[in-house]
Amino acid sequence: MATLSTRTHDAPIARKKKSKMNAPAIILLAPAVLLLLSVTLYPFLYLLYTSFFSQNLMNPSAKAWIGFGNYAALFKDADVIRGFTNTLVFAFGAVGIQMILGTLIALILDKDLPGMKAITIMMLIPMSITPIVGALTWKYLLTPPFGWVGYYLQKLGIIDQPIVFLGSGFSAMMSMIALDVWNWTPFVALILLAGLKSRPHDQLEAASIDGARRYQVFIYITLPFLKRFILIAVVLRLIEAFKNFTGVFGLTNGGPGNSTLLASLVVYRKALESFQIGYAAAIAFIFLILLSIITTPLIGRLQKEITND
Amino acid sequence: MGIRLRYIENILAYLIIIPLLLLFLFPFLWLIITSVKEGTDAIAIPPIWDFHPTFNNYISLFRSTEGRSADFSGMLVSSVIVSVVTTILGLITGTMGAYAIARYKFKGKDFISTWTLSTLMVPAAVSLIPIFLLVGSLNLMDTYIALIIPYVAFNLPLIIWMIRGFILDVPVAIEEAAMVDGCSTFQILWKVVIPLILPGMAATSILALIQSWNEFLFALVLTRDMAKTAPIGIAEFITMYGIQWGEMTAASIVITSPIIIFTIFVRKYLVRGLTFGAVKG
Repeated sequence: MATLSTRTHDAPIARKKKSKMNAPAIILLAPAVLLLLSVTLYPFLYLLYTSFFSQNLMNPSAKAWIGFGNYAALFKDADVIRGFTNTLVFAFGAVGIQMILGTLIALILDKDLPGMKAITIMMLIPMSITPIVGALTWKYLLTPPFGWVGYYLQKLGIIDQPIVFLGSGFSAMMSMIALDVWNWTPFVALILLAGLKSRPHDQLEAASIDGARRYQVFIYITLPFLKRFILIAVVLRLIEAFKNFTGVFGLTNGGPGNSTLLASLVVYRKALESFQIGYAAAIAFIFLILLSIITTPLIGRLQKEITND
Repeated sequence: MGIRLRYIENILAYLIIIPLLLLFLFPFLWLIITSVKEGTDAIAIPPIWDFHPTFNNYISLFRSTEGRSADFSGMLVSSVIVSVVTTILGLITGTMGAYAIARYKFKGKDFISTWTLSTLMVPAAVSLIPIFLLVGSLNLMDTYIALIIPYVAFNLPLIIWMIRGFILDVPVAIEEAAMVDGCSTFQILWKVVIPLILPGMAATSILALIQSWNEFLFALVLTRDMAKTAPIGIAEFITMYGIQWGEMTAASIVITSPIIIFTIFVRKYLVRGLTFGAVKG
């Protein structure tokens, strides 16, 4: 049954239309749903099917059924395991730092001080830079001898000799996290700033009249109020970080070795560099299952926040 | 709280935010500076600061060179075509879907609206393999349409949920009045709702435009030459022609500046859009 779904949905006009309102809703939704199915359900079924075959991209017609062979192999594949664990480290590391730094920036930008509006606008720049450009720029800046980061850190006396940031596993992962933090902390700050700006002023005034200290106001009023905005930012950023491809492709390409390999890059490589489609499909399928286990509750929460106002 | 303490706090605020701002802007500043440096000046260490700005990198970027598979201006044209068509198609299908979700009650509505949002979790790398093979078997490799269809789909969660919020802001009484006047569903949507949500639709289309303009993985795999978009061109400055930092940074500035301008232009709607309407910025 379809009808105008608002407070007035039992108004006479809407009621009269009730009997034939399903049709327009279906027609309206059909194109969008079909398009979305083509990038979700179709790949899902295709991957599931293909994952039971040994199939080469160069000769797709010659495929052999190998049952769960691909799945058995992937759980023993060091690159795959590394890709999945790295994705978790990268996503939680990057989003964790973004939240702390983003909160600090939002609190400062919320102050009624000259210049803060201009700074807020300039903060939009990192998130407007095309991802591949951001990744390649950082790659240059971090690579000695030309990279400015090493040069100026050395000049400031913070390091003694040039560091090959992308040369060791740990610092390469830190660089990946730094890239994402640079790219998206301003976005987190903007979300939290919107939250701070919508704080009820009477509560803050009442608290300061009652003699509450600044940190008390922050802990007992601001933080509980910000909880919703923090949650939204965490959900959105985590989902995007789990899916990261362009950043890792541009900055480290998974290296050195497999130390910054992320799940998306593993799928890409197995399919388009080793041409093992069946195997890549199995990895992609497991990736999708793991992602939906982690992100389904997050997306449910996000939807609740979207529809709850 | 004492005036002096507040004064110190304000000073501290500037002492933290200004270095942070410089840190956030520094890669972009490097891009601009390098793009107007001549040849070897670009990569000199220590960095050269007293140089004569030149636009030679920009000029050579747009000079088509014999033998290049697709010159940068060609890639820009591809980028514009793909992102504009994607945005138009996304806006049409997304607005229709959003209207159904915002205004109708029907069986399975909750499921469908949750599902449109949850498609957000599907990584491009995962849907890539099946779509790559499908595109190949349909002989659509290196065509605009091969990029446009997936891009529209990737933009739909954003478009549907953003537009849905704008539609909900429209008082339903106006639509009911139009219904009394005998308007059909599509007439109401076209003649009543859309004119009222035009600013919101403009903001939505800019965000969709940016997403398609920036997309990398699908363009990397599904295009070769004719349909190659500008971000792929950027990556190729490094892999194919050796490293031409001057031209690479100039190209980066060319593809990044419209996005920065657009972002600043829609900043009022930016947070609302990128949080799918969860935060009314």
